[in-house]
Amino acid sequence: MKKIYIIILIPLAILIFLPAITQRTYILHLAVMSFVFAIISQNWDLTMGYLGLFNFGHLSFFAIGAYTSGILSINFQVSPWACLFLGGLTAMVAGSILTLPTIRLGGRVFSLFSFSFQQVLFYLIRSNPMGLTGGSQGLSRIPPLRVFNYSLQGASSIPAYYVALTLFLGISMTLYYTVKSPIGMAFTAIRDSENYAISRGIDPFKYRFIAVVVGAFFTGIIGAFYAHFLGVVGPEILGWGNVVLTCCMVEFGGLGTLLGPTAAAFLLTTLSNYLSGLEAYRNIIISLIMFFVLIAFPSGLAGIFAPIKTHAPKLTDLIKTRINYGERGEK
Amino acid sequence: MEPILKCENVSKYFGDFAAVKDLSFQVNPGEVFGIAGPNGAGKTTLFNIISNIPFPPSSGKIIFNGAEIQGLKPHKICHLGLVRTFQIPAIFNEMSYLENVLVGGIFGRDFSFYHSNSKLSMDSAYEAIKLVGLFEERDKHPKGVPLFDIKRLMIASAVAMKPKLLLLDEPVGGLNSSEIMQLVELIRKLQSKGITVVIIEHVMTCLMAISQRVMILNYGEKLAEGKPEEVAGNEDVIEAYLGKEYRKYLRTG
Repeated sequence: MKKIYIIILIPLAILIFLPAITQRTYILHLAVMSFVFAIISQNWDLTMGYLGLFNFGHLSFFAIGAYTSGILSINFQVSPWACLFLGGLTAMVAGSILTLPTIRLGGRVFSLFSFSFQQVLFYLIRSNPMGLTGGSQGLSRIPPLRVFNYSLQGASSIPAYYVALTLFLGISMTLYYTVKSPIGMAFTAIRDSENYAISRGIDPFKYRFIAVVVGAFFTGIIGAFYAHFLGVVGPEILGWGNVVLTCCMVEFGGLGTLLGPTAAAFLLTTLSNYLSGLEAYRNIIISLIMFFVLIAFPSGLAGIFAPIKTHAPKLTDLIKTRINYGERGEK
Repeated sequence: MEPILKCENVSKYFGDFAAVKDLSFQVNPGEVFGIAGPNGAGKTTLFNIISNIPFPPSSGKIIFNGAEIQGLKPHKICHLGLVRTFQIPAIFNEMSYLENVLVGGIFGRDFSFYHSNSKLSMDSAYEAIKLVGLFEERDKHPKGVPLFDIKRLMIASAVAMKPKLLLLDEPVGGLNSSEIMQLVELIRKLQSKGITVVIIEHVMTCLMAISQRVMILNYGEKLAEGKPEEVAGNEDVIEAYLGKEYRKYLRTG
């Protein structure tokens, strides 16, 4: 119980006071990018780790959020804050389009469909339909989010850092309580044994749909934030490098743990930025690190913390304390 | 008395092969109804099509509690109170014993946020895990646990759903004789709680001991039905189990 708080509280304190510790824009920029990728990989973990549903198109929700928000705020002068929400909503719609026709056909069909969905989206964005997406140039001059006329663009803006931190913490907490709730229990049940779960009254289609759509919504929101934060967004966010890196964060962090992919997102974002001067060697070094960590801890980064994880409160404990059962389970 | 479960001309075809063929029978409330038959007789297929997990019947009517249920989604059938267990041991590996049972308590009725967290689902889970005698082990994690525990957990999670009718698929298969005795006791307890039980079993002593009525299937068709002692003496049944050769011995000896 105590160790888990140390693991979470110390990094949390560092993150809260980071702008006071260092004024280097580069580090703040890395932190914000880590928040963004942590949220993407957490939401990916929701479908891949908790439900065992291989969604290879998860980054398309990110791209849809970013582009929707960019297009709406550039071409239609919609308020960037509203765009944040609309980006999430559009990603959610995309999530249902991806899920509804395929989810009943089994995991393999869904995986293939999500894979091709992302490819189609990539070429669609590149083809610059109606001059909206800017083709391979991407969108630029996306207006920033504003708080009392403070612009939230670029890492030199400290309010931007705190908005990113708030989004990160808010979405992480929401996901944490979702997987600890009966909904998370249904996810685990479906992953462990689908027919057994059905025979206990769980509708697997409903929960798969919920997981994909909720994941899409949060990923879309953070995509929109990314677009407004950087002011530019290009089709390379759907490029192979980005897809593989993000997928690695989920796998390397440890499937179905949330905390693992978050840690991996921070680690890999930082590493890949610091090593970017080494060009081709960068990927070799990152691969080697992942290789050795996964040999030592086959369940990923979360495996290092596994002895501690068991102390986290379980659903039964949460309910038990509410009802206050006695020592032998008597009321 | 109105039967709790009634199957009318139920069939299941895989291509041309009839796994269950034109089968009709009924189960009365409160009884233990045994189903037996040689391997491949269609016993598990019958449970599959009644519960619609994983497939519905090809034709025929299944009437549960006065309403037709063929064509309903499987989780809806569970919510009506018709619950099954599996022949192949099924368990949620990532959950503790109690959580395994709680799944039935939470999702066994129509799921809503209100009672998912409520006392009702927790109470039924506690009651069920005590009934099967696993209360002391409730916080164990089911990795490499004995088969007996898995079988009891499967029954406990079903009982936590407050079923009206329980379909048990080979609950004592693979267990030793003292474990079989405990499970027989457990099934009697279920019956005394007012749960109607339909049980598939290969261990004939167990089936004969607990069933009020028995149905024997062979090649997807009903071979015999009646009280256990009547069925045990039925020549067709003996032939189905032992082959034609043995029929001669029965006649002469």
